[in-house]
This record gives sequence, C-alpha cells and structure tokens, in this order.
Amino acid sequence: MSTEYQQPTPPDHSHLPENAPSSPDYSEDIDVRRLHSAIMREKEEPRDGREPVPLWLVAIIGLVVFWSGAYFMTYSGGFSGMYYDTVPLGGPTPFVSKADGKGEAGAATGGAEGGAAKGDDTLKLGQRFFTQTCVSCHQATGLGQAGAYPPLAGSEYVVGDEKRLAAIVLHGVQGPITVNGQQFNSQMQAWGTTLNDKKIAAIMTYIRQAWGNKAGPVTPELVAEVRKATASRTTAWTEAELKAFK
Amino acid sequence: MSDASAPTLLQSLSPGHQPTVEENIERGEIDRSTRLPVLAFFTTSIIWLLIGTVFAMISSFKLHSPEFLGDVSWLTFGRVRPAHLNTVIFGWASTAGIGVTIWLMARLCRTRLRHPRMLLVACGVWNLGLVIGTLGILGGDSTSIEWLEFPGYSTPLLFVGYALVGIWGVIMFRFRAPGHVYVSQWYLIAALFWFPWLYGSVQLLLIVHPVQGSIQAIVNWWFAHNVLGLWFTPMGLAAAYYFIPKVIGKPVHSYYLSALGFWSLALFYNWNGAHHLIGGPVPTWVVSASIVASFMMFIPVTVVAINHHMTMRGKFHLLATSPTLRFIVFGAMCYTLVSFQGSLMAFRSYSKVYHFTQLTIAHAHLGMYAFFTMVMFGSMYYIVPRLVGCEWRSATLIKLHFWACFYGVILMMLALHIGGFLQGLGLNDPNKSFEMITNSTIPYLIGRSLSGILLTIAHFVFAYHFVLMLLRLGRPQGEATLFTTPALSTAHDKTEPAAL
Repeated sequence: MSTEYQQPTPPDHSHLPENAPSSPDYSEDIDVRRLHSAIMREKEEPRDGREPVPLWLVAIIGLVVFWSGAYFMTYSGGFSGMYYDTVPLGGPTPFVSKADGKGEAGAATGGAEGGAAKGDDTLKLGQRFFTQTCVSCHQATGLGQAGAYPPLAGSEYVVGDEKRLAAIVLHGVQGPITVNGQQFNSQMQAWGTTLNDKKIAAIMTYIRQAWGNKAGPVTPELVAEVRKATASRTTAWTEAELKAFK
Repeated sequence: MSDASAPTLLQSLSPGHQPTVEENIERGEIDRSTRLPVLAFFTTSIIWLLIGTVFAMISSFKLHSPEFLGDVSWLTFGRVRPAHLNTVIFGWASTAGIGVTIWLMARLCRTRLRHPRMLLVACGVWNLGLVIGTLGILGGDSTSIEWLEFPGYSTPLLFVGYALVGIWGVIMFRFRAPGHVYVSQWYLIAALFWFPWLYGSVQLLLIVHPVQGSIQAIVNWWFAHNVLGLWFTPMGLAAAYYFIPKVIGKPVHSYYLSALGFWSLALFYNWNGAHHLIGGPVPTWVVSASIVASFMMFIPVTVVAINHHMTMRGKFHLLATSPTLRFIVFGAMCYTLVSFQGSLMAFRSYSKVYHFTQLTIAHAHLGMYAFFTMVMFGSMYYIVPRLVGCEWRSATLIKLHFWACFYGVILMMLALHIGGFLQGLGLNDPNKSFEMITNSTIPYLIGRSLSGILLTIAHFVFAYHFVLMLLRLGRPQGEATLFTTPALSTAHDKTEPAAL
C-alpha cells in the first residue's frame, strides 16, 4: 500500500527480451514510463480469496437438487421413447381410468408398450377421429341433437353388438330410428369409403368407452370382417334391418 | 522472465501486494505481444457489429411495416433476420470474444503470445467464412436451420478459422508460466474445447449427414442453446472474473464458490436445449430432463452471482468512475437476471404462455446483449488503451455509449416483455383471431425499433471512438479516461488510485 504506484524507479532494460518486437507496430515511445503508464497504474492481478461456501447456500442447493429429482421422476414418462404426453404417468389420465383399469395398470408398471398402453393410444386416436368426423352431429357430449341425431351415450346400438355398430359406421343409417326411447329421423352418411378399418376401430373403441359407456375395445380385424361380409351393400341401413341384424 | 512472474510466498500471503516494476514491465511486454491479433479480431468484430445492427434494424422495421424494402428479394424478412442472427452471433460476439480470450490467455498464462501469425491467419479465414456465409444467406442459400443458417460452403472456413484459435489456445496453455491457474482461465480453456465439439457435431449431424425426423430438432436446439451456455457464457464470465477484481484491486471472494460455479455449469448446461421443444414430438423424458437441468442452473448462477457480489462489496462507488467496471458489472447483473428467467421459462406452465411470442426474443437479447455484449464492451475499454498506446479520447463518448445501451436495453426489455406476454395470453385465448393478436403487438414492436435506434447510436459512437484509438488520435498516455476525476473517486478510499 505504501508503494507509490506513480513513482517507478527507472526501469532496468536488462529485463527486456533480446528480440524486442519488430513486427509492423505502432511507433515506439521513447519514454518508457509513459509507455507503461497504463500498466503501472494497474492493480494487482486477480487472486482467489478463500471464503468458505455459506451453509445456507448448501441448503438451497440441496433443495434444488431434491426438487429436481422429484420433478424428473414425476414427468419421466417411464423413460420410454414412446411416451409423449405431459400428463405424468400414473396420474389422472382421463380416458384410460374409465375404461377398465387396464390402462392404469399398464401405466403403473411404467411401460408404454404392451396392450394396455396401446389401448390408451387407441382411445386418444379415437377421440381425435371422432372430433374430426362425428362430432358435428353426435356432439362432443355424445348426446346428439333432439329429433335429428341420436345420442351415443348409453345407446344400445353403441354398447351392444360391435359388429352391428361397425356395420352402421360403414354404411350409414336412413329413416326413423328409436334410441333410448326417443324418436330420431335423419340420414347418417356411410363412412366405409372415407375411413379405413383402423380409424373406424379407434372411433368405435372411443365411443364405447366415453361418456360413461363401459363396453370393450374393437379391433381393426373385426371391422375388416364386417366390411367383407357387407361388401355387396350399397344403401344405408333402416331400423328394421338393424333390429334383424344377425 | 518466467521466474519473476511466478508468485512468491510473500505475494500469495500479502493482501495488499502491489505489482513490482519487473512484473509491470513483463506485463507490458505480454500486452504488446498480443497487439496485432487482438486488434485484428476487435476491429473485424466491430465491423460485424455495425453490419449486424443494420440487419437488426431492417428486420425490426419489417415486423411493424412489412412493406419496408419489401420488393428487394435480398432483404426480405426471411433472409435479413437470419443474417442479423448470424452476423451478431458469429461476426460480432464470437469474434470479439476470441479477441478478449487471446488477450486474457496471454496475461493469465503470464507468457508472451506465441505464433501471432497463426492467429492472424485464423482471423482472416474466420472472416472470409463470415462474408461468404452472410452473402449466402442474403442470396437465398440459408440452410433454414435456426442458428446455423450459414450455407454449407462457408461453414468449413469458420471451422478451420476457429480450429486455429483453439489449437493456439492449447499451445499457450501448454507453455504457461508455472503457478496457480486462475478461474478465468478454466472458463476460457473449457470454452475453447466446447465450441468445436458443439459446432463440429452439429455440422456433422445436420448439414453433412442429417439425422432423421424430430431428432433434428433435438440436435438443433442442443447446439443453439449450448452455444450460449458453453461458448459465450464462459467467455463472458472469464472476462467478468478477471476484470472485476482487477479494476477494484481485491481478490475474488471465494475460490470454492468459483470451483462450484464452474463445475455445476459444466455439468448442467449441456442438457438445457430440449426445453425449446416443449409440446413438440419429442419423448417426455427428454424434455423433462432438460427442464430439470434448466432449473438446476439456479446453482451455478447463484454461486457466480454471490461470488461477484461479495467481491464487489464495498467497492460499488467505483462504478461511478471506471467505464470497464460499469459495463462489466451491468453485464454480470444481467447474467444473473437472464439465467433466473431462463430457469423459470423452461417450465411447461410458463412455456404455454411465452412460447412462440416476442418474449423469447426479449430473453435472447437479455442474454446475448445485456450480458455478453456489455461485458465485451467493458473488456475492450480496458484492453484497447494497452494495445494502441494512447488513452480513450473522450469520457463523454464512453458515457454516451453506456447510457444509449442502458436505455436501449431497458426499452427493448419493457416493450418485448409486455408485448410478448400479452401476445402469449392472446394466443391461448380461442376467442381471439390470430390477426387480432398480431395487430395488437405492433405498438410494442415499434417500441423495440425505437430501442434499436438507441443501440445503433451506441454502436456507431463506440465504433467511431475505436477508430480514433486505432489512428492513435486518443489522449496521450498517462491518466486513464474515467467517468469522473480520480480525485473524486479516491475520496471514498484514500489508499487506492482510480484504475481503468
């Protein structure tokens, strides 16, 4: 501290290296003290202090690490390459839990592969196709519209024989029909040419398990079978034909 | 020469050690040996800063006045915006960072700069790559991969240019004077290794032999986020760790905190990129890992913030005096701010609002501008007088530079944060049309353009001042160019003269 920084003794040039820079530089100043004035007013080179890490910081770091671990385990998706959902595994998955508990069981074991989790995907897909195709008539609530479009929730045609349901989706319905004790009269389009078996199976699985319906899933193979059996058909079903189905 | 530079026992024990004449002369020699390469990198970086600023202004104007230069195909938004990004990232920030790195490496290795020609060649090749790449983007050859828009025929030049710097860094470290390796040097050496790893991998995986599907997005954001955290952040922190204690003349608060901060950054940052893909077709665990790592970034950031704050404690009055200190402390504070914000922004619940809005842009500029660029300005204010042999010509110009930057940053942050937040709320509201939401951002985008004008003024003032220094039209050597007279600043602390 007592060392006066402005008063260097005249520098000893023996410190300078033999080969002083000869590169194309700025012209050299003869006054060495002026040349080094920026250097000489400098403070010492930075050094390390040795203060300890405060304990409260260690505690906070511990909390951050603990919380991060908890978050990661919650949202790890079982470390599966096939799980893309932000809903934590084992958490409230809206459709799987309603179906038959199979999906939840699958989720609890952490596997996104296997039948249960596949059912989960089928439901999701079914809901998406339903929203794209069916929702304008049958509504997102599955209750349809009075007088025109019958409800799907609680409908015998939906939760009953899956082959008959597949036939309805493939070829449509025409004329008056009674569902849940109510009369409806409208036209349902034939979807057999627009939707493939996989999509129809997904939609059917979805509507058989949504809105409190509790029927089993439908496979694309079953849809294919019905499609083949009714291949010669060119018109929509009537209520009488459906009552007599199989 | 190397004997004199090794710290003696007395030097290590005595807190009030002032450099001896021998040490000063040696340091002068080291500084002089860095002159040409450092000035070459600084000069080109400032040219790129001006070019990047012009691109920034054009793209900012286009967002609220789309017809502006709308007929010029070379200056359409889809080309000017990536041109802005790449010129400021690779042209300005990386080039300036390399310049500061070279100077710091020579000082911290306490040895004269070896192989200056290697660095000059590196500077030439690097800048050639930048020119070709920028023209490529403007000509329509952009790769359309964010942060990597430079076309494939320019990137090998960048890689070679960089590789020469990296190899040089390893040589310098190999031949350093014996003794303690200071924390700044850990960051610099790490950055010199991390950048080629990042840039090489991503070129290989996205340009040379592209991976398939959504993996591309993961690789892309792995790079784009890491280039911030593992290339710019270490260089910025190295400068802050050097210049803060250097200017105030106090040791860094705690070696243990320095080590903790360095290793936790190295451990957590690499995982952060995938939080850009929240909601995207990426397995849940990848995104969750990235969110957790982003949250863990609280650790290195808090540690560095405490270390810098405790070092500065009792010396904050020097911010009124020293330009270097003011720029760097402002940058270091913004580092804390932007990192905390980034940790929170990584969460899915926040992402729902800010993702795909102007708020992301605000965050990026808080990091790359308010932190990194300000630290680079501060470092240049310290380094340049030691290279050109004269002092900065005018404290007023430095003040103008600082305050234009300061108010520019504040205005940009206010405009983009408020505008981006409202935009995010609007996008989540199904009753609002997209057109309505877009129109509602226009006043904030105009605010951003105004902030851009302030920053443009700052950059041209700085460039003008820098050119005066290159032409040796600064003040004669002697007293440093400070914001206030040294007498005023030493009133607080009689024992130390003001330093720059």
